[in-house]
Parts: sequence; structure tokens; C-alpha cells
Amino acid sequence: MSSCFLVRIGQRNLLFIKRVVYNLLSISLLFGAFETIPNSAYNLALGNPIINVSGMGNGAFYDSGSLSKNRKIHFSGTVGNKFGLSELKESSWLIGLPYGQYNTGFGVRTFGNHLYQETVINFFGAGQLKNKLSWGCSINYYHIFIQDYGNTSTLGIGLSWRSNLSKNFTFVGLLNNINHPSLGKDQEALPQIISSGLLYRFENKIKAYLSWEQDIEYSGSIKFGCSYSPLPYLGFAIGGGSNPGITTAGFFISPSTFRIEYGIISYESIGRYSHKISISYFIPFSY
Amino acid sequence: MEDIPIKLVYLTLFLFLIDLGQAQGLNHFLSQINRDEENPLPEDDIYALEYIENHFRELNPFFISQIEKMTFLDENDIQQFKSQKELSAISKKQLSNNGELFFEFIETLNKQRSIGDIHIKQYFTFKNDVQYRWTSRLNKENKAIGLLVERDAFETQALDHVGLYIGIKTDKGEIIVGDYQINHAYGLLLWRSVPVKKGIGSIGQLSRRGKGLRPYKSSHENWAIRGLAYQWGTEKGQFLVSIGYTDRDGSIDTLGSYSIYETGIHVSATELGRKDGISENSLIVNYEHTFKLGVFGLCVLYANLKDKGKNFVETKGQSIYFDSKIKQVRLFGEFALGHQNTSASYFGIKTDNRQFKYVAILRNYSPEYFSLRSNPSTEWSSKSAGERGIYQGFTFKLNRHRITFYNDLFRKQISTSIEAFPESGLESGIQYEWRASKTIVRVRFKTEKKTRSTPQFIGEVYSNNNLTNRYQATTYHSYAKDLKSKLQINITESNEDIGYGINYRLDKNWHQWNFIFDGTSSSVESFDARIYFWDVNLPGEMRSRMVSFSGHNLGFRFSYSNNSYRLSMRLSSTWKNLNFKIKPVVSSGLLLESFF
Repeated sequence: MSSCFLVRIGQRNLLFIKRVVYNLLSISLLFGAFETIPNSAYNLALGNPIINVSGMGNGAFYDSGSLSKNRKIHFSGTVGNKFGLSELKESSWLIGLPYGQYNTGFGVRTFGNHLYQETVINFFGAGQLKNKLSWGCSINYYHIFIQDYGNTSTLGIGLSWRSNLSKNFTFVGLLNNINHPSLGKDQEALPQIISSGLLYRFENKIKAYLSWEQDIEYSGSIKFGCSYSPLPYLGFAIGGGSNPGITTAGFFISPSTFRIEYGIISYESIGRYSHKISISYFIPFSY
Repeated sequence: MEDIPIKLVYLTLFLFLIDLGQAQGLNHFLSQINRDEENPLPEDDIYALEYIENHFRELNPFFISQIEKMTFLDENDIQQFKSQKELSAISKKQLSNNGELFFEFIETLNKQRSIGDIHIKQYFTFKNDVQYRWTSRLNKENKAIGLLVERDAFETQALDHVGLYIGIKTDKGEIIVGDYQINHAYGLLLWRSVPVKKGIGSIGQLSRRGKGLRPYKSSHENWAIRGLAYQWGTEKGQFLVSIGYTDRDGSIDTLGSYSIYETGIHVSATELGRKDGISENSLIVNYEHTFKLGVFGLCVLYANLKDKGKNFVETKGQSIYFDSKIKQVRLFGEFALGHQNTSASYFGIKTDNRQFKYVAILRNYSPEYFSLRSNPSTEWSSKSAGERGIYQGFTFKLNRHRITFYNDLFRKQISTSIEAFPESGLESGIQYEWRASKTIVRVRFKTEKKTRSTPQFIGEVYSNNNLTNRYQATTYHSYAKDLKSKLQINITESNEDIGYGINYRLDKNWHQWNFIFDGTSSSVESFDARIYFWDVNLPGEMRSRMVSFSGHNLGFRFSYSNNSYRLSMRLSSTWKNLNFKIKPVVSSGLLLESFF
């Protein structure tokens, strides 16, 4: 009797997870395959843009040009649950390595559960031109696994660049999946995202930005946010975006070469929250 | 209610501009140039102008070579710039109308400005969807490198068009790898995708030969050749060889007949891919010899066309051309044989005097005359009935007064209906211009009368001649060193319909900022009575706005520049009724230019 009950509970859980995954995938206007943004928690707190406003670690997954800003060997990791659902775990891990005048990097990110799992392995390269233009490129290996369906994979290429307009202003542009990669027998296209934004920075204390982001299959969205760091080891951020409407907030503390970040994002259209926590470590002797 | 904020923004800006109330620069030059609004400059000219705007210091051989490329200047203008070492030694009286404006544009440039040779432009224009474009160019004395990446609105690929060229000049010649274009002679065999159009500003242009081998920089036109071209000079003349391919929008049937759809507008690689277009492989050889009295040239084109079904067609074309000057008289012309030995000819005479210039051109294109890259000046875009025509024009200049007149008589060679004469018509235009130190006044009248045909279920029906009269009056005024204005009235009469409109523009410089405010109101009864105005453009754009409705348009542009970058934004709203009680159609654009 009791073992039968446990089996039923297990089946119900399985059905629930399947339903959640199915619902999320079926409303693919919001989140189809590989549409989650592997941001650091603080970049999420700034409005979850795909451009790397905070300049730290995991923001380089899309905005690889931002790697050239970190001239130390660094390591970053971010974990969180999408919409607060433990079945939708996301995590991303990145290591950045300066190499002469250039920067290289390696990253891994995952999303999903044991029924549906996305994995992306990234290789990054970044550099600078005349101290006015930073560029970056990434080669992304996308792999997807769906239980009872199997798995498939493909390669994508991303580009990003930053123009230093003045001491305070920087223009950022990026293109993701410019090679138009697709998955599976039906050749499902992966999201191709174009974004550009203007960043403002004042003495490492205040940062603000305004960006335009567009998955070319859909209409675009505007994202914005600002952060304030009253002390070098403490900062707060808020942000927002349109289409779909989001509101974000978060903070960081950086007691030494460690940095811990927290970010929360609220999705207005579905009334749910996601939380993220990031940790970064910069090897101090690696100039 | 929802359009009130935008009206308030415009009103505030208008008052601000009036209060602060000479702007210079390329955009101002482009808005003043003697040209019909429906006939903007080729993009190649605009890129060369941009380069001059950013880098011009003095009249050295490199800048002379840039100036030579400007199609709106006539040969005499170029001769004037070539013959002087200092800008100040050039006499404005010797220049054409556009030559004078170009001279004033160069005179006002900031020659102390020092910016890098690499020019990167990031464009974002929005109307219903976003068009993205990134260009990067390096232009030095002996090398030119360019990259263009673009995604058109609603395209499903992030990079739907990619173009690249690398051009190197050596003592022995010039080589271009990548995308390039060859414009030779007068367009019977090799030209751009847009022909020289007849009009007030075309008198100098119709008598100018093509610019030869050029890197292809446009994202707006098509017809680039992708491949390799080499041009070198010997004692016996200049040779050019090009081997390349072009993907074209067209089809070949199983009998070997082919058609190519030419709108002149850029078609992206992805769009061509969707349409299963055809691929053209071409070989072009040109020889040109310069004599004491002028130039003589020969050109041969061979191409094969293939579609994806492996239908295959070969086509050939050849032309001879000349351009000679005997004292003040220039004789020029081209004769070409196209596909299946159809022929075309274009011969002209031009007299050049300090005050008076006259040009007459005879053209004769046989029915079905066609060559893959031919695009001469014509009245009809259809080639099936051929065309004959005579164009005449003169310009007269006395002190502050300038008069320009042109007339074109044209006729198809054969009739498309057995019951009617071949279609024919005439087009005439006259312009009076008065120039003072701070004010330019232009009054223009243009009339066109031609056979009107209407496609019907069986054949076409011909009715009375179609008569269109266009009137235009424009004043440009400089209030102070940093504020300029333009007022323009346009009227079009077409048969029984009438369309008229008024446009006012303020162009204000304030430190490193430039502001433009533009307002247009129109009343247009039908599409035939449409009118044209120059639109509010970002630096490097030259778009005109066709107005075929009654309503209003408000436009605004600002740009901020320093030695490293220039940021510009334009915004315009169009209300398609006269009382503003309608949601406006908004279009906008953002451009960031960086110099390294």
C-alpha cells in the first residue's frame, strides 16, 4: 500500500516537472532553448542586460569584449533557480586568463533538470585596439538533452565590442549566434541577439546604462539600470526592462579578492521571482 | 492625446532653435546641392564627401583624387581644383553651381581637426523594425580596407549581408580584392545600379564618364562584383581586368531566356538565397588610352549565368567610347553591342565658357538592347521597346544670377500596341538662382508630358497625354555664424490633381552640437500629384521623402562630435491628416561614428 503511494507521489512529481518544462517551452516567446541569460547576480540586478555592465565575470558569456577589462586571472560562478523553481536550476562558471595583450577564457553553463538539460561550453578571446576599442569573440558549443528524445548539439559564434567615447561614456555592441546555428532535425534556430548600449561610469562609484536588446525573431526591449558603490567593497544596484517587463535589484560585497553578489529579478507578466548568487575570485599576483 | 508629448518636444526644440537662432558641414551642403529631391547623390559620392569632411587639410594629390570622384562636379570644376595648389587661388566664378557650393563646403571645414584614419560607423534605424548596420573603413594614400555588416528590418539572420574590400595602390597599378564596382564610359555597358537621371542638376553629370574601378561600399544599391580586379598603366594606355561573381535576383527558363529583376535597391544575400536567384560569373577587360585631345577606350564583358537547376546562359557585350576636347568644345560618346548583338549609342557635345555652358546628347537604344550591367540615362526603365532621345541643357551665370535650363525629347522605338504610335514625350525644366552672401533663392519649374498608357485585360489602352508640372521655390538664409534656415514650397499639378507643400528647416550649431528642426505640411490630392522634400538625415544619409497625402511631418536631429566620435540621432513623426488627430508614424535613427 505504502510503496504504491510512494510510486504515485513520484509519478505526480514527474508529471509536475514535465508540465512545468512543457509549459515553459511551449511559451517559447518567453524562453525557448538557450534563451536564459547567464548573467552574474550583480549584472542581473542592473536590469539583466546581456551587455556586461558590472564588468565582472559571468557577464562575459555574451559580452566577451568585457573580458579585456579584467587583467587578472579570475574565476566566477553563479547559481540560481529560474522563477524560483528548483526544477529549473541554472548555473554558470567562467575562468578568465590574460595572455599577453589579449584575454582568453573558458566557461560552462547549464540549465534545466534531469528531464531537460541545456549545456553550453564557451571559449573566449578578447583584445583592444588603440585603447579605444575593445573587442571579443566567443565560440559556443550548445548541447541539449531531453529525456526520451535524445540529445543534439551545434556551434555558435558571438562578437562584442566596446568603444570608449570619453572618460565616462562607453558604447557597447554585441551580436550573438551570428552564424545562424540551428538544432535537431527540424533545424530549430537558436536565438540570434543583437544588443547595443551606452554605459556611464563616474569614479567607480556610479554606473548607469541604457541598452536596446533584440532577439531578431521578436520585437526588441529596452533595459536600464544603475548602481552605486559608497565604499569600494559594497555596492547596490537596481534596474528594469520592457518586453517582457522586469524589475531587478541586488548588491555586492567584496571583502578582499573575493566578491559575493546577490540579485533578484521579478517578472511582471507571470508574477514570479528568480534569485541568483555569484562568487568571483581574482588571483592577486596575476597582473 | 498620445501625440501631445511629441508635439510639445518639437515645439520646445523649435523655440530653442529660434532663440539661439550658421550651421555648416556635410548635411548642410547636401541639403543645398542643386539636385532633384527624387534623385539623391550616389552613396559613393557621400562616402567620399564624408572622408573630405573629416580629413581635408589642403589641396594635395590625394585629396584631388577624392574630388575627382564626385559625380556632381563637372570636368571644368575638377580642372579648376587640379590646377591650383591652394584653395584660396580658386575662383568661384569659374565653377559650376554645385562646384561653388562644394568650394564653400570645403572652405568652412575645420582643417585643424586631427582624427584617426579608421572610421567605424554603427547605424540603427527604426521604422516598424530595427535595421542594424556596422561599417568600418580605413582609407590611406595607398590602401583602402572596408567591412560592411548589415541586418535589414525583419530579416531572420543577424548578419544578412556582409561585404569586404581590400584595395592596394602601387606604382604599377591598383588591385582590389573583395567587393568592387566598375563604372565605365556613359553607362551603356558598365554602370551603377542607378542610372544618371535627367534633371536640373544633371547637366554636368550626363556628360561625365564613369569613375572606373572603385571599392564597393554601399549597402543600399546592388550590383557589386565580388572577386579580383587589377588596373595598371603602361605607355600604351591603361588596362583593367576583372574576374568575379555576383548573385542576382533573376531566373533562367529551360529555353535559355533569362530575366533579372532590377530595382536598384540592395538585395541581401539571405533574401537572394530564399529566392533561388542566379549566379553570374563575369570577366571584364577595359583598355583606355589618353591622347593629347582626350580619351579613347574599349571595353569587353563576358558573363555566364547559372541557376540552381543548372540552366546556363552566356552573354557578351562590348563598347567603344571617347571623350575629346578641342578648345572649348567637348565631344564625347559611346557605342555598345549588347546581348544578341543589340546596339546602343550615346553621343554628345558640350561647350564650356566661363559664363555659359551648353550640352546636347543624342541617345539611341535599340529594342531589347541589354547588357548585364548597362544602365544609361533613360526615360523608361523597360528595355523591350528601345528608346530614342535628345537632351539639351544650358547654364548661364552672371554676377549673382544663375539660370539653368534643360529639355529632353524622347520616344520609344516600337509601339507595344499595333493600334497606337510608339509612346513619346518631353520633359523640360528651368531654374533661376540668385546668390548673395547670406541668402540663396532658387525658383524651379519642371514640366513633363508623355503618352499615358494603362494596362488592361487585353493589351494596353492609350489615352490623352499625361501632363505634370512641378513648381519649387527655395530660400536658404544664414542669420548668423551658427544658424541657417531653409524654406521651400513645392507644387505639383498632374492632369486635374494638385499637390502642394511647405517645408521649413533650421540648422543650428552650438559648440560641439548641431541641431536640425524640420517641419513639413502638405495637401496632395493624388499619388500622381506627389511632392518631394529632403528628409531629416543622419550624417552620411541622403534620403528624400515622397509625400502623397495631406498631413504633416515633424523631424528633429541632433549630433554631438569631438575628435574621437560623433553621436547623432534623428526622429520624425508623420501625421497623415491635417488636424493631427491620428497616431503619427514615427521613424528614428541613431548613428555612432568612432575615429581611431
